[in-house]
Amino acid sequence: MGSSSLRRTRITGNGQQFRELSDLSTNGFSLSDVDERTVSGLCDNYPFNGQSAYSGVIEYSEDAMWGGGRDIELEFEFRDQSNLFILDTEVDLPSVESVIQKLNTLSPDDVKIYRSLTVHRERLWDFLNNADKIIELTLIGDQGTEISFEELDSELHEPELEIEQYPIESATVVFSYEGEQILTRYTDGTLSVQSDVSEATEYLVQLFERDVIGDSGD
Amino acid sequence: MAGAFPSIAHLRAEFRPFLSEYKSSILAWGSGILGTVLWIASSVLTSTPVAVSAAGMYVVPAVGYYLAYRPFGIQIDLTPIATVEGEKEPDKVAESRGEAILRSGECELRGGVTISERLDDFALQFDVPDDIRVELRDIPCAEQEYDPEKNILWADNVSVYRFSIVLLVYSDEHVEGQTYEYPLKIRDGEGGKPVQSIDLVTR
Repeated sequence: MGSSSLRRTRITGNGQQFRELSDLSTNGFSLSDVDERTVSGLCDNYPFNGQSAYSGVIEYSEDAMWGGGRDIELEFEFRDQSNLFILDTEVDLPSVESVIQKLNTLSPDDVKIYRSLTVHRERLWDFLNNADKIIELTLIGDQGTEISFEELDSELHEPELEIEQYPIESATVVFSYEGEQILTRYTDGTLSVQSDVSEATEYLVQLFERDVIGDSGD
Repeated sequence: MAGAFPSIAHLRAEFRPFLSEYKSSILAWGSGILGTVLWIASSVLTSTPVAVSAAGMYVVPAVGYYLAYRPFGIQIDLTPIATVEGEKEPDKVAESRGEAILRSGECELRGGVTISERLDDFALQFDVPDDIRVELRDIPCAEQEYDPEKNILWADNVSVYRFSIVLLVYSDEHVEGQTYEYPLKIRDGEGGKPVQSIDLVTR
């Protein structure tokens, strides 16, 4: 099952900068030419209708600790209004981190891909609460220890704190789009979306852009 | 956003937390006793210079204490997290040394921020050297904003005075086996005085 990992970026100017990333190719790390498309809303009240998405392919040779290694191919996309950077991958998370680290090292200083999404906590809570099903939820308690959703009632020592005031360590939830189940996982400050149907993935990314990133209207 | 120089409102908000801390310091006791002795001496001797010295004995140490230990009214407690056999656990040993160990080039810090209820606004800058990066995992409260470029968390109209934060510190170019120390300073406003300092140690 394909997985899309969402990151936040800072790019001065517009997404044209991503066109120049293909010049950054080095030994063991290359970027294809970048295509541009316009994003049209799949969900209601999508705030970034008409934004440009710049996409391409990264080819990356990952070294192994004991020789060998493997070649990895990842599709990436940058959205110029929500400032999301999305890596589509079949591989595990550590490889995604090393690709982002490599991109940050090679890119000019005005292009930066962050490790964490750094969104408002209560909007993330609302987004996860709107899922069809919550499979797993772990919070970070007062002393830095982790508390599972099941332990919450018994272990919360300070009832004056609302549940939404606790940082989320990890959450696995399921959304659905036209009968397709979309497994969504928030962990270490990033969101990954798993679905075999690209339109379902796009729908979930747009939900996240609308409910968590877009202007809250406060 | 609060800058490097505190506003009158900021000073007023700091006053009570400062006073309660200063009153319990040895400096306050010493200057209080000496000031009182000088004050009595000034009335016995009817000497203006002694009276001025007595007033100075009260005021100067208090101002010095404020300048040396400000800011008051913001408290931050952070615990570094270590991954032991796949489980994340508080690293109490590193915490007791005021350190956080960057294993494989990164470390997570979890903790709480307490703001004086007299503060209307605050700004915290998470400041690290160029070789290290620091990110806030999420923005704790709706009333707060975060600038990821300057690493500043701030609120202009504070209504939540206690909240949890999670920080990720990492190096993009770490080399295994080499030990370096970098300071993480959490400052009161951009370029302001550190509220909390932690040594980030790469191993």
